[in-house]
Amino acid sequence: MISFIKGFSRVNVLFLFSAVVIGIFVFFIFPVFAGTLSCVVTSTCASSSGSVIVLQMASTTNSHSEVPNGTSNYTNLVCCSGVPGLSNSCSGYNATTVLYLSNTTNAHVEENTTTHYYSNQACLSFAAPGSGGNISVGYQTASCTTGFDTALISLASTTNSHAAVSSTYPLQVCAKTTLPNYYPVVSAVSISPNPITLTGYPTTPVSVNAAITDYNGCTDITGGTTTIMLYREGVTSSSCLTGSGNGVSTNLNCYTASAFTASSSCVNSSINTTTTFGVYYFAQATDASSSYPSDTWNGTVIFKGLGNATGSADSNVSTSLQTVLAMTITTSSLNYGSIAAGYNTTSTNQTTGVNNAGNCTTTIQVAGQTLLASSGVSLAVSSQRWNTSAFIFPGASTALTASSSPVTLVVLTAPTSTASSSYTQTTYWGLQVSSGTPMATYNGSNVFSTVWHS
Amino acid sequence: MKKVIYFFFLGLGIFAMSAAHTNVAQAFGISPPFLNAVHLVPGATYVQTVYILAQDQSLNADLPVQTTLNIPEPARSWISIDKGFNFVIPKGTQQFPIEITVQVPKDASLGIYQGNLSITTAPSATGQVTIALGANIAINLSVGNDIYEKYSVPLITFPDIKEGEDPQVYVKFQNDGNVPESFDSATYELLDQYGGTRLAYTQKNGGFPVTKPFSMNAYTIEFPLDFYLGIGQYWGVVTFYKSGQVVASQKTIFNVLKATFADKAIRFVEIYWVFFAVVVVLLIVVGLYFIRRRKKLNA
Repeated sequence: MISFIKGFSRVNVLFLFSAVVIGIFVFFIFPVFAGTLSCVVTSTCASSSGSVIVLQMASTTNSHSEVPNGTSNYTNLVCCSGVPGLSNSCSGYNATTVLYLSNTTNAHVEENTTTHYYSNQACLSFAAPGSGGNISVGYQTASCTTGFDTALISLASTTNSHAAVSSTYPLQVCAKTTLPNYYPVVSAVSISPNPITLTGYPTTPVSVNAAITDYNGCTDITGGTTTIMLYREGVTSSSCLTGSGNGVSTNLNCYTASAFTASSSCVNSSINTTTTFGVYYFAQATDASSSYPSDTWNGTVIFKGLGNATGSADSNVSTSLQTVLAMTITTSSLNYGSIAAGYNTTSTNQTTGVNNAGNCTTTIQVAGQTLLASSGVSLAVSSQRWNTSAFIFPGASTALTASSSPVTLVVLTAPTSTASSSYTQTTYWGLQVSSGTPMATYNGSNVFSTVWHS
Repeated sequence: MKKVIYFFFLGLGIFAMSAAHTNVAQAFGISPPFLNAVHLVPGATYVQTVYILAQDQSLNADLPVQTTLNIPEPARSWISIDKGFNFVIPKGTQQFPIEITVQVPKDASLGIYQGNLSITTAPSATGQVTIALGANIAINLSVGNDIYEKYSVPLITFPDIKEGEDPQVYVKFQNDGNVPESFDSATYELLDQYGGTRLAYTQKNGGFPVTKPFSMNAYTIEFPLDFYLGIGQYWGVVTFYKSGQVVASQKTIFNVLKATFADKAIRFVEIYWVFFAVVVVLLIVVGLYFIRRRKKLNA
């Protein structure tokens, strides 16, 4: 062995090593799915590895035969494999009759010709629908290597014949398959969480999950294209897809994506997927108290395999999106500065903006406390006044009320986009300090509350 | 030049979008903003989770929260919060769930009870007049003596199983009605890996877990089949029925994985546990017999 290696130059060894590595890489990374049909006569036929029984024979020669799903104890099984989705159903896709049998068991066989005498069939087909593909069967005296993939058995004559393993009798039964472009199957589409609660600002992650199966293999899945949609039911998937009709509006009631994340490895031509959308705080609610109580949120996954065959599915469990009542505020304090006793803020207003950050119309209420100095003296709650436009104290402003009796500041309609100007209200504030008020620093707190506007 | 114009407008767009959110000093909200329990009966327990949403760019401390229940007695004493009426949202928490429970006494008077739960945060900033934020949860309770049935199945999945095991279906059952609910029956169809050939079929006519009123229950149902599931991929079709109507169904693919020796041993014991129990009891009886016999002989 050592001398054998010594006989190679270093370049040759490197070349050989590279070839082996590339070979292993190609073997494991690029599995071959468009396999070649191969049939043998054997005692066991492993259906778990995709093999199917086409015919059962009593013996390997001069034999009577039985249909593949027959119940006798024939131990010689004509077992075919090597092609994904192969089936022995006579009603499957591209179904082709291999032989006709005189009975379901203990039968003579004949070729599949237009004028056949027997009615029991032994077939080959593809188990799943697709486009294209073909299964051809031929009977010839020449070897099946001429024009076909494999030999199944051999016949003594074209009809009323006993059967034997191939090459025993002069007439070879041959078959050849061309793999179809299977339609991908999308299943188990679901939305999580369910129900959807928009807990984030400005967005909350919501996932659409699905299983995608393509019998042409995992390369068809990884090389395919997809469209994933999350939308309010009333909008419909077609409007969400095209972006027009049924009141569709991106981010308000329709989200689309063109890529998924694999949540499992691709096993046996099937993969679990998830797609996470950032759903905005204003996405339309569908709970019982919302504007769309009879709607749900749906997920739809459309998948196009590498061969351009398409499959799709919708979520089939209802998913509600909860109403969220929320606001944002632009300042966290009001600072009036120094005001002498007996004076007010005149035309110098303090401002703060309040914004509807939920998906429903909200009433913003305001209330406050007395402003206290460390010595214990105070300014009355009504010393502060507010208005929804700039004012010269007191002007048309409203006196602040105590926390026990908040008043409505403004009603903000439900937002439909992030362009928040229509859902925002700026409030203007002023302060009056009565004559005789001791000089001190006064502090207090105003409360802005958001109340559901049913 | 085209690229320059493109990036100019792209930058302008990003700036405009971010500008809409840059002025947020505090955000506060709740979801859902109502507690509508309108099909209560005396003795019922209703639990609802409400998320408090808090976001404060300057917040680097815990956020104290005060709640005030504004609903007249007797309903006032029926309502409790798992966190108490005053609690603290830990620093950095943006979504804080609270569970509000309505426990209706068995002798409660039938009627409608309305009010609200006011939630107020402590101001997080300092200044002359600080701004605190709050939200109100509207409460609508209706106690009657009618039977109200409403349920849904928000999730059905098919877990992968080990070879030799029976197929399983994981279900979430949401009962929004005021009486206990469960499925009446279910059918399960096992198909080959291509979904074209039926391998087995079974029907289950009882033994489904019961879901209490106003609650959700999650469980796994096993469908015993007279079919050995070897390693591979299969399609399952499950349909659940109640009162003769289809409540939910699902068709999807699942995997049967290789069972380890431990899996097989556990499975074996699960199937033949009665045999093992009998053997253990017999061994104990025989052991006791010999101990007593030896004692007699010694005596």
